[in-house]
Amino acid sequence: MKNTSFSYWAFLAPCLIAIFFSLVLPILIGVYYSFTKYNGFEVSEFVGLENYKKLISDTQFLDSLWFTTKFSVVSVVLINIIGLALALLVTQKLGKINTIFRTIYFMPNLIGGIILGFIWQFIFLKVFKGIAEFTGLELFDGWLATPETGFWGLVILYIWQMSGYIMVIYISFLNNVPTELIEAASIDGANAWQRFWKVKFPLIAPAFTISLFLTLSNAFKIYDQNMALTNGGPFGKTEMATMNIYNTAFKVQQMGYAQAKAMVFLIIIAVISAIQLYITRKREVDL
Amino acid sequence: MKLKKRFKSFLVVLIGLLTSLIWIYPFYLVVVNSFKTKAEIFTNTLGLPKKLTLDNYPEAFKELEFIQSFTNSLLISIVSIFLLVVFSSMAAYALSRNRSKLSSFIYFSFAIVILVPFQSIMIPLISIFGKLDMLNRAGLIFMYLGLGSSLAIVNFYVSGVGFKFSYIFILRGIKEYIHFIR
Repeated sequence: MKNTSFSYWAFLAPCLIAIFFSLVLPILIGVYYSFTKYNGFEVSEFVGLENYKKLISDTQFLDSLWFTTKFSVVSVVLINIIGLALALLVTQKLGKINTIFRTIYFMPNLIGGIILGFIWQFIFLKVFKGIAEFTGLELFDGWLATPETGFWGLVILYIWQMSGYIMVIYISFLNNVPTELIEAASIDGANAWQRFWKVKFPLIAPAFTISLFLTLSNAFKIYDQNMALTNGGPFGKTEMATMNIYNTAFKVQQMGYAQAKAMVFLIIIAVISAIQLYITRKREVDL
Repeated sequence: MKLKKRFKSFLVVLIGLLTSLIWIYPFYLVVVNSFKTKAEIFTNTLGLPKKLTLDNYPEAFKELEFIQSFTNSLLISIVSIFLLVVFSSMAAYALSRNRSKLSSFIYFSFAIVILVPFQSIMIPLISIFGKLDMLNRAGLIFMYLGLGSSLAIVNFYVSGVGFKFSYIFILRGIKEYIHFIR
């Protein structure tokens, strides 16, 4: 297929057109909106950098960004550790029970974030309370009522949802590790621990690039889980950046300002992902 | 030696079973509590229902306008998954058969739009599709194609990970958008 051939462009056209109208064009128009006062129906005036100046001193927005960052770092680390552990577990030679385990770990991923949020809200509010009354442990009392428990609630929910998904990525890479290498290592007297860290771990380095990229950008972008579980409460202390943007747009009806926030958010995500890709890619080459 | 190995695999299965229980427990709670009356949910959250009640189901069915919303979800999902699989595999095919500078530029552009958070395009998206009178099923399917195809193309393209995997991504994408229309 040549660049100039009709079929090349015909094959690409549907996706290019769809992406242009639902992603590229909205971003370009979004940049324009972010410089204006826009209420959803008409642009009333062009205000230049006013919106951007305003958001630098908007503590609620800055807090939500910080909260999102904290959440993303903690959950990305935990999801990858747990996902890899689960992948190692189900790649042991155990027979048919492996498939059952895999299915169970992957299951939370098949349900949408809103429903997961409500399930866990029920658990944190009712079940944890029941445990607290039963055992008398204060640890389980009053979940989601403070910013800290709200934070950890979100982390737990997200780990439960995502680690099965990340597990699938690690499994596909672990299965591609040549068995000769592992056999050779065990003949040389390497134990299971050494076989993992010295043979498998370096060979699945590309899996870390993909998994970190996916978990990091997804953790920054979550909205449903946040909305269903805590809805920003108590007092907007667990409000994530996406929710802050959404509320500015549809509750306060300041679309231009919300768009400016969204642009800043987009740039932050792009920069963080670029840094992450750069670092993990470099590691891959080194090995 | 053999005994030791047996013990080891027994241990692994045990760990697997315990984690599976943790993973599955929330599902158990949902199912069990859906058969309880409101009063019993408060007094007896964890256990099995003392008296089985099926009243919750018809009520939820009515309140959610279940048939209407489910038909919408199903219709939109099927059509968009179909279009997404067909069009994105076509695009990935074209890109992988033609390894020129232009192709890698297009591929890179596809890959980079995965990052765009929905909130950054949400407001203009509504205004564009609203002006074109496309805030309906057809418009939504078109949006899904645009929002989902970048990830799908990348996954079809990196076929080292396998096609099975691409479908997981696509299904996941669709599921997310269904919530958007609600």
